[in-house]
Amino acid sequence: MEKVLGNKKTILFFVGPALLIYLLLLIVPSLWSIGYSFFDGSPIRGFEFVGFANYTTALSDSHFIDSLLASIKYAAFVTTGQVVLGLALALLFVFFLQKYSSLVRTLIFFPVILPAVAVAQLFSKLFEYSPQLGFVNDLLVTLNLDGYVQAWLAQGETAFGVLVLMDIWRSMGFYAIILYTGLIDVPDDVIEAARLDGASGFRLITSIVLPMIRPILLSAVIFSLNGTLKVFESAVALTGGGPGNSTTMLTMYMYNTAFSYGEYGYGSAIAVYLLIMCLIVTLFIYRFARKNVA
Amino acid sequence: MRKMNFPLVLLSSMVFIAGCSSSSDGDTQGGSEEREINYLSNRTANQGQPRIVLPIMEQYQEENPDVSLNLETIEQSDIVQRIQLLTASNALPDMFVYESAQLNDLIAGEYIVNIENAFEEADMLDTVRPAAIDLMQQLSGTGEMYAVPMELNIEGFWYNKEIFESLGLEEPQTWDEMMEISDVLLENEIQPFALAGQDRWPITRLINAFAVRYYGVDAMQRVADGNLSITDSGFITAAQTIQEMNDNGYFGQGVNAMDYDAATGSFLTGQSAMYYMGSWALGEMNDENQNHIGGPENIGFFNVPLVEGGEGTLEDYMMNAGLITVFSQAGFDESTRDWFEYLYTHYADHAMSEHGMVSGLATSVEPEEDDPLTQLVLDELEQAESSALWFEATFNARKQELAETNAQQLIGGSMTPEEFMGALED
Amino acid sequence: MKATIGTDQDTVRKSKQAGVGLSIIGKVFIGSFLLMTVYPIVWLLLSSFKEPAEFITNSMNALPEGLYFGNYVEAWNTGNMGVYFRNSILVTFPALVCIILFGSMAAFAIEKLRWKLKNVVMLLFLAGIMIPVQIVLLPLFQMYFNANLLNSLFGLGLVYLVFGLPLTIFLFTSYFKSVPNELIEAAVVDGATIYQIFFKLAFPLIKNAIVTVALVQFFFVWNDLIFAMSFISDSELRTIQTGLMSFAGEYGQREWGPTFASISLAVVPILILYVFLNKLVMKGMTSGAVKG
Repeated sequence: MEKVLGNKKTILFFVGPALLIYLLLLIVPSLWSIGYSFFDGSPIRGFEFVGFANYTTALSDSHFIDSLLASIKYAAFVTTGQVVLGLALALLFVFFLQKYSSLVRTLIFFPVILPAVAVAQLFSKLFEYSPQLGFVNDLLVTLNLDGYVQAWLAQGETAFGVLVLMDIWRSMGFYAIILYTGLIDVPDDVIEAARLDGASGFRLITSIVLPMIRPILLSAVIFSLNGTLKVFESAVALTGGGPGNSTTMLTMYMYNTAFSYGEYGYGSAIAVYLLIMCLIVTLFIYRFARKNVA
Repeated sequence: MRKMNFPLVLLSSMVFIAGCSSSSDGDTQGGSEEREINYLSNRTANQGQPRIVLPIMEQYQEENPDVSLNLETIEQSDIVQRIQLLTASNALPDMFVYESAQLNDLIAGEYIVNIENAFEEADMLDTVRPAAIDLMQQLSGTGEMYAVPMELNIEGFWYNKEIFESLGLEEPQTWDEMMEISDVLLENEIQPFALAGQDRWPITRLINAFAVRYYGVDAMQRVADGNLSITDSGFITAAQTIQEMNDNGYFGQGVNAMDYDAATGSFLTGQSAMYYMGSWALGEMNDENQNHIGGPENIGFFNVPLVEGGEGTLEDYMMNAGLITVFSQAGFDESTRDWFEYLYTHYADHAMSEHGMVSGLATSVEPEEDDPLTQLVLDELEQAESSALWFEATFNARKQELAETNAQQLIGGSMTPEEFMGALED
Repeated sequence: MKATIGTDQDTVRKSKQAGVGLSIIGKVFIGSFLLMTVYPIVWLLLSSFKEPAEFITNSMNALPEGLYFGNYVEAWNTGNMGVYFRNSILVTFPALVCIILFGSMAAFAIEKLRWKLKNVVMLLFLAGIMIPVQIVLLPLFQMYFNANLLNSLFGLGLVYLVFGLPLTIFLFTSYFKSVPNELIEAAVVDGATIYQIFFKLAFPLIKNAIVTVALVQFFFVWNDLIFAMSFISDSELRTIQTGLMSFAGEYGQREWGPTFASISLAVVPILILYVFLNKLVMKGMTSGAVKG
């Protein structure tokens, strides 16, 4: 047994390829960048060692704080929306739709395969205010709700809302499918037994089904946070971080700092902060998951 | 197993090569060898400047078959990032467009060619328009020209002649007159100005226009030199005026959601009467698919009006050279130098005759008969005695971003003029 | 290892016994969701047939006045959409295959093989889940430049592979956990080599996870902008994302007609592909599933 399952060559064959490119193309460059974070400068201006100065600068940099809060707010809203709606849809697929299930699944999943840039362009048109009213404002006029017609993307709060809405729209189908795969696995006899005990509808779902799919639900939350904390594409494409800096996320601030402002060391320090934040969140969830799976 | 070998071998060789961090400038070889000149632009082969440069290269190749031009197109927003990365790898393109905000770093690091000297050595400096030289010298912050002005734009107010005539309005001479005109237009339910607030820079352009009329043409230069505070009362008044104009409804509703297209469209469909913009917008104004207000003949131009008690004159123009083009020091060898001379001997004429484009290089070619706007731009250029850069031109990139970002907040009312200018103080 | 066979019949039975009221609410819910999902896309397709003037003069929700194909011509010729599309596919699918192969192998080793450092290696991979891509951009660019991997789809795919691995391994290990050790030990006793055990026994057992991972990774790779933006500059090698971005002009002009047309071009083939694969995916998912 040990000879087969503990064979060095075998282990190397299985882990080697993944580990090697992973170390080379992810870990090494990351450490390299962490190294940069102790320097001030850019490739063009050259680098100068400054110790922890970049890290302390960030803490008193109001832009950094603003974008950090924006990221957290965005992640909280979008992750909740994606997972909750995804779950709702998945439950509907399984329990209320048989004949059209596959067609509905296909349609709901469709926005997932749209390029993010394309979706952003689409939404900016949907929520357009000028030169002519976009779909949403037009609809409000039709419904005699003229009071609500506004320049959605020109105001910080509403622009943030549109961004959140767009990303939920874009990805809820994705989470619906993931959770659906978990739901399919719930054995029928468990459901049957619960039914015989008189559980039905909502109670059946919350007390029987959800615990059964907890692992996949947690995976979905991790996926989702993994994407939302590091959101970049959709915010860049929809608002470019504006109006003002209301939709500037930490990733964007980091990118701008490093590449537009030419402050590579400071940008790296911000990236390290981002890394720390993501690490804390992941570990927290992972702990939680481990405990529950066990 | 075999499947894995390819990437593995490749990767290990990658490490090996990366380990010997070589500055690979391997494309410059001896004289008669083939020379591929790398050209990085934000436009494709049939747009903007490349559509003029590439045909000139074809001509050039008749004499010099060994030289070729390799155009690479990237997004404007990625240019700075790409150049950073390429600098880190010692692999700057031989010729590339760049944002002026970061020019200083490239000059300080001696990465790019002193264009003024290059023109001097080629005995061609007299072919550059004085206004353009002045502009480029201001841009580099060193008093010397480091970039080629392949485009030259004047900025000011374009207006819809028909609307002005129908309401009996004249071109305003002072800012106050312009405000009065705006009120008349509003009463007649016409939006006075189109403004692309979503693109942010059009807002600061207006602030700058006011400030330049208040302090004179060197307003921002004096700020950069530390001889004038950006929180001085004239700048506050400038920000306040633009904020007021928005509060009065001169820019219409939801200005921060108007992008360049929407604003241009608003002006070219007669929804708004005036439009502050640079002459690069001639392309849209001359495009019959976009111009629905009676063609270019119906568009007039007036320079930024004067501010009462201000230093500025009507001979001062706001100007802009589009994205500037620079040459890398490392790639400026004999063949590039020769190509450089050939290109800028022919560029201005090609630009004008083929595309009606005004560049910073003098041309003997007249614009087409049916192109009154280009003629108008040339006439205005003749009158220009001095030029002012745009608001952020002397700012570093971080401050530029700050100014543009806050401009939206200023106009949206979530920032006072004092806060706006205060944030830009060093 | 209990196979769920005839799931469809089961769902029918389940839903029959669920409250009728609920199912009506469910249908309304689904209906409104479908409307929200589908309408913008329909609108997009319709808009792609509008003439340039219609974007300026007519309401955004007006139907196109006619079928104007000029936008498509523009998108195909100057927009180069066909090429971008091909590139996206060429880079995405090989990357996905490699992610699944390398990821599942590593996960198998971490979960089922016996060696000292496996927890350390697992932690190392887990850390990677959270590394923001921006952090490695500059060093990676320099490495790529020196290795001559810039402007190659292979190089781009490699980045996707590396960034896809941590999450994939995390997922696969949790799935391999549910494969009983006795099963593997029994196979060893029967004299199967470890390679046979992996490819013939363990790998097929995690079908579900493979589909899930493929979807997740597709989502990330397909939408990537930042690497495609940084590592590919040759316009012949652009992916859809960067290609779509290139419709913006120097001063921010955007031509909506061709933009919509190119989005449509990017979307329709993918939709067809998905509908086709959807059957396969669902088939794979609903047969021989193991509890995750």
